[in-house]
Amino acid sequence: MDLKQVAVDRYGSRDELVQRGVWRGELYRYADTDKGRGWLWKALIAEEQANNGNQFDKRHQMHVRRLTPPAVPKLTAPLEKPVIELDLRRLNDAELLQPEVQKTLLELMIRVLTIHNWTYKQGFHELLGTIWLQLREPNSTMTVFEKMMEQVVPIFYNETRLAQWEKHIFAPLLKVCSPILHDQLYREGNHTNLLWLLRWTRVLFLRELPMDYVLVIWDHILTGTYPIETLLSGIIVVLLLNVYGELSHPECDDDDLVEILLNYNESVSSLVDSAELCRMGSRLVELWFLQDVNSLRMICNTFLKLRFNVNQVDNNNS
Amino acid sequence: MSGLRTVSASSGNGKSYDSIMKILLIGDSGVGKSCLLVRFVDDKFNPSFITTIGIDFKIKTVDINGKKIKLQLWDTAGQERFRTITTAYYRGAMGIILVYDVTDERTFSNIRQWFKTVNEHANDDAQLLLVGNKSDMDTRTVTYEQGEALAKELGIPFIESSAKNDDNVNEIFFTLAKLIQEKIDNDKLAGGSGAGKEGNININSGNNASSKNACCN
Repeated sequence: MDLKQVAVDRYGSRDELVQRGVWRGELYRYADTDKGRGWLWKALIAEEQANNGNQFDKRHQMHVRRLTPPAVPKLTAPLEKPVIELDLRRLNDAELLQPEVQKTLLELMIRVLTIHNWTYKQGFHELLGTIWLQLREPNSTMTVFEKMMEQVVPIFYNETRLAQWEKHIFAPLLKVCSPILHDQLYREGNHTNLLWLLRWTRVLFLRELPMDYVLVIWDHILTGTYPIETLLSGIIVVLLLNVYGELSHPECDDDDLVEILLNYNESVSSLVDSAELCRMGSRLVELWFLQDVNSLRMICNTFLKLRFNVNQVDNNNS
Repeated sequence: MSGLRTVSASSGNGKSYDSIMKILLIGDSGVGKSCLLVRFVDDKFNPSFITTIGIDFKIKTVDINGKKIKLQLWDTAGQERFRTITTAYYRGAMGIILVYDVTDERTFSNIRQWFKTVNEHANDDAQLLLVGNKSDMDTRTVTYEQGEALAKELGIPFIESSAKNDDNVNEIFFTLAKLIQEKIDNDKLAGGSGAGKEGNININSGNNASSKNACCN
C-alpha cells in the first residue's frame, strides 16, 4: 500500500499522522514509501496551506485594504539567474530536464528568492527539484520548498551560522554521544569538519543517502517538531555511528576522515533503517534538551554494541 | 608523457604510496571541473554532471619517475569563490588548476579574479596551471592563443583540454604533479634554502620556463 492509503486507513487526524505515523515510524512499517509522498506532504502541510496560503498570497492579502498600491514583491531576475539556469540544467533526473519543468522550476526559484530576499546558493536547486518530483505541481511545490528553506537557509546556507551550529550544537552533542568519534574528528589537524557538514546539511543528505532515506528524513523536517539544527545534529551523529569502525580506525588520518565523509554513500556498509535513523536521532535530541548525558551515552553505546559488536570505551567520561 | 603512469584509483584507507600531493580545481560554475576530475579518476564522462556543493574530493595514485604519488584532488564549487570554508582549503594546496570554458568568454575573464583569490588564500609556493576546457566544442569564443597569452601574463603553464573527448586530461594532472615533484626534488637538492613551505614554485615569480614546457596542443 502507498503512503496515502496507509495514512487514510490508520490515522484520524493530521496530528495522529504526524505523531504516530511519522515520528513513531508506523507509516514506514506499513507503507511502500516510494509511493504517495506527494499526498503525504500535502497532508502534512495542509493546515498551513488552508490557513495561510503560500507566502506570496499571504503577503498579498496583508495589503488588500491599503489605499496605496500593495507592496507585492516585484519579480525581477536575480543576478544569479545564469547560475540558477545552469544548475537546473544539471539536475540529475530526466523529468526535471524537460523544458516546461525547467521553466516552472526557474520561475518558482526566482519567486521564492524574491519573496524572501535570499541570494541563490548552489544546492537550492536540488532541494527544489526533489520536491517537484514528489508533487509535480507548482503551488504545493512552492509551499513545501518555502517551508523547507525557511528552516535550512538561515542556518546552513550562512557560513557564520553554520560554523556556530557546528561549534555550539553539533560538536557538543557528538562529544557526549561518542567521545571517541568526537576526539577523532576534532583532533588537532589541518582539516575542518565544515567541509563535509556543509554539503550534508545544505542538500539535506541528498548526496549521502539513498533517496528513500532522504525523503523519510524530509518528512520529519516538514513536520517541524524539533528545531532543524538539533534534529540534523542527532541524525548526523547516528550516521557517524554507522561508520564508527572506519572513522575510529587507528590509521585514519585527517584526509581519510574527509574522504570517508565526503563519500559517505560509498563508505557505509550497513546503514540503519531510515525510520529508525530518525527515531534515534530525535531521541538524542530529546535527551540533549533534557541534558541527560548518561542516557545519550547509553543509547549510542548500545547502538554500537548491537549493530557492530563494538564496545565504546572512553577515557574522558565527559 | 614518459615516466608517468597511472597506478590505481582508490578511495580506501591504504597507505601504499610514497608521498601525497594536494591539488585543487577552481573556476566558474559549469566550466567542467568535475568532468575533468571524473574523466581523470574514473575515465567517465557525463555532459550534465551534477553541481558540486561546497567541495568534493577524489583520490588517484600515480607513478611519477618511479615514485607512487597519491593525488588528493579537491573539486570546488564554482559559486564558492568568496566563501571562507572552501577558500580556507586553498592554504595547503601544492597545486591549483584554474579552469575556464573556451566557449564562454565570461569564465575566461573571471580567471583573473580566481587568480587574485588564489594569491590571497593559497601558499605563495603553490604551483598553478591554467586549463581551457571544452576544446572539442565548435562554439569556441576563446582562442588557444588568448589562453596562452593569459597564462604567460600570469606566469603559469597552460593546457587546453576536453573532458568529453579525453583530450589532454591526463596531461593536466601529470604535468602539474610532475612540476610539483620536480620542485620538491630540486629543493631537496638545494637543501631547502630559499624554498617555500611546500618547496614549490612561487606563483608570482613568472616562471615562463615551466609554461613553455607544459603548453600543449
